[in-house]
Amino acid sequence: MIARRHMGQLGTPREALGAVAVAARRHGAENPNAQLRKALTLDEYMGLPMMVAPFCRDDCTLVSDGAAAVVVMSARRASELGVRKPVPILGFGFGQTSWEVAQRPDMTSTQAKIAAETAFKMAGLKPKDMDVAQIYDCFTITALMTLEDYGFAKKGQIADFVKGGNIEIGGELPMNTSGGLLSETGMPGMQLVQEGVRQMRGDATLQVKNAKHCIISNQGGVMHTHATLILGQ
Amino acid sequence: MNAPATAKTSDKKPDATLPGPEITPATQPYWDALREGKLTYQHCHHCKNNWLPARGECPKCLEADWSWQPASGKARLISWVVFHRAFHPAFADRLPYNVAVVELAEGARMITNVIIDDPETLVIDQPLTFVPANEQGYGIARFKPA
Repeated sequence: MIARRHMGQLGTPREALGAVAVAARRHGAENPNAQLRKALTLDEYMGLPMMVAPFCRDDCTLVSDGAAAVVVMSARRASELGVRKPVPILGFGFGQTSWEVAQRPDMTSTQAKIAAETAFKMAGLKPKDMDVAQIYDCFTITALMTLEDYGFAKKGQIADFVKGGNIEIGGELPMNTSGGLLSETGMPGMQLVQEGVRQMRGDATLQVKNAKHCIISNQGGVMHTHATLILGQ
Repeated sequence: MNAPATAKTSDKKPDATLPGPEITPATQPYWDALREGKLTYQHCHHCKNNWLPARGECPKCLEADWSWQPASGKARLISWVVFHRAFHPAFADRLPYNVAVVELAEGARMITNVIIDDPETLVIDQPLTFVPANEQGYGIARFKPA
């Protein structure tokens, strides 16, 4: 419902959804730990049969079991313990709306906007300062709307931002560099934090060169709750 | 412990009976009106909000001072999806079928189907008209392009 509204109201083409899937699958194919290691071209994506239109299978998260953990401590404690390459949290933010999807007055933006504004302000940074992104991609539209709400593109102009490999490794904002929910694992988000940490440590399989800032998103419900994290070095 | 003797799920056909609504005292008037082909919504006397589905308090101001009102039947299409795989076995012979969110002219929103041959011709915000229908004894609200 959200995707169709976005397409109809803002003119977002299916190719923009496809760009998210293509990026995730390209990156996931390079990740030896990814559940789905099969690259996807935009032509292949456009030719896939619909499941629940406007979504085909490859717009949807994997179904996965798994576990992940993140250890958080003060910089001082990390230093005392001799933690190798500790990664600082530069900013974080949250946003929440309580509207059920059908009742939501505005279907095409979320509280990701508030979450990101809070995180950017705390970090003293702007979207253009981000070198790499790990964006929650339970469905392709979710990642597109999050990028818009984060300020990487104006509402309705996300198709221009994601096309031509711009969110793939080597592009302006490599996104979901370990494959995201669409390719690495459908676990609900912690794997995105881990990949953000790897990118900041310089340990990622698909390392973004000279990456200094990484923005990470997560959300719950049907785009009801949203959280943003900005990592640095 | 007491597994049924016949328990082999692979031998069972999926239940294709349309699941009926769970009718509660709060929703009974809505279903009663629909069975007579009339679409109704709840109207808050306190803040003038109109809404569906039925509930005990206004979702906007939380007052319980409301009444059922007849809908004009005019609506607009907020969004829709088209199922190419059945969500429930009862819908298998309707594939592909659409599920839509519509907003009544009075403001209440509901989930429904649009009666249309080719859903590719649907357009966001297009005007619709209420069409009463009946499914296995239940009154159902559907819509068609106005």
